Amino acid sequence: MRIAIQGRIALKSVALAAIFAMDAASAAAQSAVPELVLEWRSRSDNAAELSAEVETLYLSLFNSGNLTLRNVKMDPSPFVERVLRDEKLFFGAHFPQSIDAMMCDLNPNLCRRTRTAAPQSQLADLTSHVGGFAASQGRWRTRVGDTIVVPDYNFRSITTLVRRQVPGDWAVDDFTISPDMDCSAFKGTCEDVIARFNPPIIQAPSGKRSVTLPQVQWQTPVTFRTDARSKLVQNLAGAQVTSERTKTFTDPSDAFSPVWQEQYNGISLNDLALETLQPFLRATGTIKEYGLGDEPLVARQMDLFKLIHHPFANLVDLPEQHRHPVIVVVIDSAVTNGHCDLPMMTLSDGQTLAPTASADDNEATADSPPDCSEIDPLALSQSEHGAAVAGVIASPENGKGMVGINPYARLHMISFDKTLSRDRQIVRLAEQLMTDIPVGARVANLSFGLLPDFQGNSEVESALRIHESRLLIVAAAGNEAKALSNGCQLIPACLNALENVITVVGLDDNLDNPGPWRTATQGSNTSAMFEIGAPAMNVLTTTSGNVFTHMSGTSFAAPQVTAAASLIFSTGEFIYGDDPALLLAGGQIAPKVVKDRLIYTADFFPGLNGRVMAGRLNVERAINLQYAQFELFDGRRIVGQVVEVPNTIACRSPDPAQQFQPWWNIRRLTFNDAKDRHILFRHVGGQDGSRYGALERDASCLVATLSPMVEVRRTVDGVPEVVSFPFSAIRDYTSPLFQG
Amino acid sequence: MTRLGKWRCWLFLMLWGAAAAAQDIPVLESRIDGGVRALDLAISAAERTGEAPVVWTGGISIPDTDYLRLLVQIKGPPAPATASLFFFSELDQEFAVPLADVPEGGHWTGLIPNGRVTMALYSPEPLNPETTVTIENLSIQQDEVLLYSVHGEAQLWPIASPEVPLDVQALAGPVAFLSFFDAGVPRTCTGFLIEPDLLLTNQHCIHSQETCRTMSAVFGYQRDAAGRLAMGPQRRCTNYEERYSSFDLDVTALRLSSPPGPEYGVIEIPDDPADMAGPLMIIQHPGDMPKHVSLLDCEMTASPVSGRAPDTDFTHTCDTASGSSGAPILNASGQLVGVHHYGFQEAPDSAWHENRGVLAALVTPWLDVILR
Repeated sequence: MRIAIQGRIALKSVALAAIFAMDAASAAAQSAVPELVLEWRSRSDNAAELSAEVETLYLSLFNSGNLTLRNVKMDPSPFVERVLRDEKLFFGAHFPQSIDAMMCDLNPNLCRRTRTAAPQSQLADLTSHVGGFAASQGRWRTRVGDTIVVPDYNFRSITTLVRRQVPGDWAVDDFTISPDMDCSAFKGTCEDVIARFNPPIIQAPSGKRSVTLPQVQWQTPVTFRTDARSKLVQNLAGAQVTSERTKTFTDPSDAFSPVWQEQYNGISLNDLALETLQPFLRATGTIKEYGLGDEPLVARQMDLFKLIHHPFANLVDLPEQHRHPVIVVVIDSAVTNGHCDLPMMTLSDGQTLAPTASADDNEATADSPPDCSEIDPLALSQSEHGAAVAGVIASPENGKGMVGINPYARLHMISFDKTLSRDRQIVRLAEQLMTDIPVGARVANLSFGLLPDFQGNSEVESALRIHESRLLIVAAAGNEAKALSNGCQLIPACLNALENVITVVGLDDNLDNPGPWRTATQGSNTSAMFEIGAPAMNVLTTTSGNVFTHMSGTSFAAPQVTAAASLIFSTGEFIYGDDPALLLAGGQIAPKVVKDRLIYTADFFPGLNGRVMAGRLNVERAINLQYAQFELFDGRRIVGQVVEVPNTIACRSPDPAQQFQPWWNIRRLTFNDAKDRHILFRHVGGQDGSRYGALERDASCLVATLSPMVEVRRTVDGVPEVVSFPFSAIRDYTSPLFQG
Repeated sequence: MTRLGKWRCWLFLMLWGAAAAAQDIPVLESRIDGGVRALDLAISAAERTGEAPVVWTGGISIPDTDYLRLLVQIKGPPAPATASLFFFSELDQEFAVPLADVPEGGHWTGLIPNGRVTMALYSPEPLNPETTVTIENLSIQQDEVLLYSVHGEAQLWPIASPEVPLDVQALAGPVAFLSFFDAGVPRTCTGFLIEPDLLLTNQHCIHSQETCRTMSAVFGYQRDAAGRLAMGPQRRCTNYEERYSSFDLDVTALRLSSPPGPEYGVIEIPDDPADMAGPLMIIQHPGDMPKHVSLLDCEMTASPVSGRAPDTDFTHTCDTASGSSGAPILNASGQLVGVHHYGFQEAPDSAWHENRGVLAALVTPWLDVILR
């Protein structure tokens, strides 16, 4: 889509180019929400210019209908300029008449002014008039305590360093450090910084010279409203913004001259405002993101979110640390049509597939597509299998339809041809795995199974093995309702002995006692060797024609695990990737670490014994990477850093190998009520604390370490504290992804 | 049929049987295709828990089969006219079976490729709680076909393979794969369009109301040059009429539920007998396979020879397999010269030791009469 946008938009705005250049790096950009938030930053180095820049900002926004507004009480001053300065809404040496006029027009009950229509020739310049009228002084009759309408912006100062010319006899003391200057970003006081950057020069030249000085700049997020006529908004395949998230903008019907209103209604002024403000706008802003609550169908997903303990179950958005995009590969049937609620996707042929328009993007007609919130229970075409898998993983938060398990994932779709003969499918899969996985991909979802006719599965196994250091493969267990055992042939599900392959069993929707998903005619394959389960019944997802439907089967359980894995990769690389050189070199978390994490963080249920190795996916536990997570028998939940714990714990067990467990190798300790013992997961075969040894499970650990205390440092409401409890109080413990 | 008519028919069969025994004519049979397995899936009121209008969904997954068919039955009070059972296949096909149209004895669905199907019971009006929709049986293709040759290796090529000339590929559109049930046994044959909705095949394939009612003619069932499977429209046989069938010529003409589309064309019936000398070709569905063609070492060896009636057949050396019955035999100009109906290995003990086709020169006047 990005290419198409660039081709169609003629505006030569740095800001626009920057938005486009944001790439899909921001998942929000993919979601193409039309309410844009960019960052405005002043450029001036003196107070006079600063006034003019703020004037340009306000007039451009006001005249284009983009000025956002709020109310403020005039206290202690009844003067408009004073109020704006006190509220940090105006800066600079002088208060321009045009801003006074704008404020007057925004507060007609408190102010009158002479409103003379501006010359037609000046209207195209957004800074040369006030709503189509010439600037004039307002006649205010305000008193302390009155409420007035003011611009709604949150300016904050930022101190940068600039080079300036000074006289030859300039000395450091000649520079006045303003109260707004904060040089801490440069690791010192502003005096230190000036001295550091301007050392005395031996045999310095006489006359004027340049020095490096701190300079205060003001910056604020600037929101551009939804405007269907804007080329920019149209090409962002925009969605409508829900009312609770829309800011209050200038109402042009009250403030603008008839001539300007006519012009305002006829063309998009967003593009004009963006051009005017272009030198001040930065791409560090974001396209405003929708929240979970904006998704019309999210209520229908709540049961699933509860089953897999997704943070969305609490109707809260994912915290920032989980929002780093990661490439997820979906190998499945071709997605040819896109969908209004799928993000922009890259395809294996190098093309991109943009979200499709829906009825709410355009004026509705009889032929309009659905409005991107319609559930069609008959939209069950198997040819849309790939689109349905994609939706479960990464349907974005965009105010439309549903939301995926990781709405910030980037999708790369590899079309897999199920119309080939079975043996050719196997050959083709091996080829695609070897050659088509893009750089930067972390997880691949394979929601299908192949049974070889003549050949074995060694070709695919080799192709999977070459990705052991870079890619986690998530395979669906298949829907034949068979209990599979060692040596099963289903590809790729039965290749899960590889450390980068994890196989997903489909489960029913029983919250407390899940079993394998079964119907009268089919059901999930199961195996004690298959690692994890996820719900497979009636999963809401995207399908053709911009509608949604409920799909069942392991094909739709696997993508839940895929998306959870992508969250672990993205979050883990954000938290632990503090070596810039390693990251620059493409450093990443090993797929085995993520596979093990998914296994040992699952919810265990006795009813799944023998049918799945671990249990049901628990997203919240899996992605809480940084801290140890404890649940105590008294019901307390404690998340923090372990500062005191016995180095070794004892399990009373006839097996000597299971009796003593180094604490740093324990990944999970969870109490099994049915056996009155703990289940224990640990890494073995490596150094203490290593995550690269084999992950072993001891299903029957009678914990014999009782009285030693555990101390956990945590932060509650910003206040750090240490919580102590005896080891015997632990009902459930999950280790962090890495120690430290 | 009157009692007298039945007696005459019995007498005819006796006499023909005696004559056939005298000539050692093999009994011609269509190919048995896989087997039927009981499924007994009952969608009763207790199962119909979905939100109207889609009150039930389900799926079937049998990964080691190329296609399957399902027998739908209605038990209890009839379903409303608006209720249908939908089937969604992997090749983007969608079948709807209106429940009110399901006959006693059930309705076999069309072919569902790759053994995977999602099903949905759609009923905007409430179904009677006593009504149960059942999917009684499952017909699964599972047999591997053995291709054999008259001479040396089997020389049957997938129709879209690079070795097959494009003008030969262009003739293949009207040729269809026929799947049907005879006495409850799944079988296959080949057929071809001679009018937009009129299909010709062997009488020994479709010879009764049961075989007609259960027949699905699958057009465009072939692999492309890259090996990708395609399955075009499927059409049903509307009605079996004795007068549209010739036992002696082993051909039957069947009216389809609707034309599959102009892109599939027809094989013209020549007014005058076409030249049989020189190379021939047979476009066919050997076994249960997608469309193939036999081109090499494919020619007439003797004509006429006696078939089910004197001098109705000719012998040929074109490679075929069971399932190829009813395929058109064309000359190098693409003109119809015969309808294949016997492979030399189908009845090894019979007196027929060659592949055989029925002469188009005899089929043409028969068609003229019945279609007049």
